[in-house]
Amino acid sequence: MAAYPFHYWLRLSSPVSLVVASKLALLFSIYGFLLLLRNQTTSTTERFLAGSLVAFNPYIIYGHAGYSEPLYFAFLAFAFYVASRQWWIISGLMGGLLSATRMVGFLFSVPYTMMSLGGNSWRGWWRKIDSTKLIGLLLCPLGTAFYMLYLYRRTGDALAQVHIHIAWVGTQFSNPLQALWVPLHKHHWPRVWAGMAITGLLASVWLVKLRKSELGIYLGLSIVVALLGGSRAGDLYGMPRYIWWQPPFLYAIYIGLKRYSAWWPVYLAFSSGIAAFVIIGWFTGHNFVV
Amino acid sequence: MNLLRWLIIAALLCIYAGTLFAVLHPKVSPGYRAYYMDRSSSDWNPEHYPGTPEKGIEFSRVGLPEWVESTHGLSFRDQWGRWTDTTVGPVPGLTFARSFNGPVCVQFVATAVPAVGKTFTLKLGDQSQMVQVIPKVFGEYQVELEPVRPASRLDFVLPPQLPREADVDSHSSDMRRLGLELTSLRILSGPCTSPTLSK
Repeated sequence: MAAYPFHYWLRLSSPVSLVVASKLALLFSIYGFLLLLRNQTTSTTERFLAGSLVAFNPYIIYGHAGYSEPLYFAFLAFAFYVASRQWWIISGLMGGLLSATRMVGFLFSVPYTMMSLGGNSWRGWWRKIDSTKLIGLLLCPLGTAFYMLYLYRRTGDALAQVHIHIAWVGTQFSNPLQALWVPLHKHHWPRVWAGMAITGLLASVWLVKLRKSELGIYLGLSIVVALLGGSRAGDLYGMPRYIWWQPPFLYAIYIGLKRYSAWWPVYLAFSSGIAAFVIIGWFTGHNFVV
Repeated sequence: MNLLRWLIIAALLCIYAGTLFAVLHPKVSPGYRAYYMDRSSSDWNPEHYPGTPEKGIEFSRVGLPEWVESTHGLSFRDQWGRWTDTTVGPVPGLTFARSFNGPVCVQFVATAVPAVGKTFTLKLGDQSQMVQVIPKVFGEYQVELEPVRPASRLDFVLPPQLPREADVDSHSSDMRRLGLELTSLRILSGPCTSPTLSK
């Protein structure tokens, strides 16, 4: 949908439209991430460093090759930002666009509910509900609902995407622990991806400890949902995008690097190196980037 | 203003109610349902080739004869045929594009894993027969059935909870629950001419 104007109005080819839309969304995702970190960054240098976490993302290929990941990242960062400003309807709209971008975006309803009910205090939650917050909450999964209705109209099956994924993977739901355990005992990339998933889960726990529960819960839930979905032959091929294109994960990395600033050059060298390797792998048709 | 907000809330709830209705009432073909939703068939949109029940079906051949609409509970093809796999469907068998009535003779070539035991049941519509397992690598079976009502479904009723291959062979990572490997099957009108092997 993001590529629609480029294809139909500017008459660009479908692949070029997708790439242009993806690159534009990447700029928005950097801006959204800076907004998300506005209370953590006080100088231009810090903002440049924060932006570099997105710009030199190890899986930056998704931002340049026409994928929807940067759009998802931008909407999620904006949704968290406006929710923190208590602009509930706009946050709900961002959540709706987020869930239209990727079905898993409906999970934003959970941190939205937490933030609208007043963070960590659930006491007297029923008194905190008002119609504005309720509209925002109902808007969050709207994209997923519209997408399901679209699938129903086209295929007759509102859950077509889920059913096709199950047919591809071969199992209905996998045990998340087993989904992590199996690739850990394999070699090469499956083990690396399982390590990434574990790091992502640890980051979500750390965010909760930092009293950023809404970010931590979202990150944890989105990784668990990806693990529940399973993967073909237990290799976790698609897992990196569920980790590296999550604003909460990069938020945790920023906080960690802020505490140990000597690691900035090490991290950026690592992430840029991986990014270059992944880009070469993608363009040369290797299947470790899907 | 407050009324407008509650109207928006009601409209959004209606959209979710519509989505729930769409989820609960899919409008899909039987083949789609079997392959994608019930996961009872491992054939998606199989190619149909000309054939008759008398000529039969070779399970190693790609596609299905036109008198067989779909399969259920069968694994992928290998060079000898297709194994029944109760992880794909609890009762493996065939669904026919036509129905059979009166006495028919079902002839098939198959081999069985030891866990199937000494007998299994072959069911055509409302008629069923217990079949003795032939202790050969590939045995030729002949079973006479006489469904009272027109029948369009043939089932191989195997023991419940057949073991996974990975449980039988510790070196295997095969998670299928195999029972019979079917090589060929044909259905002849009228009673079987040679002595029946069913019990």
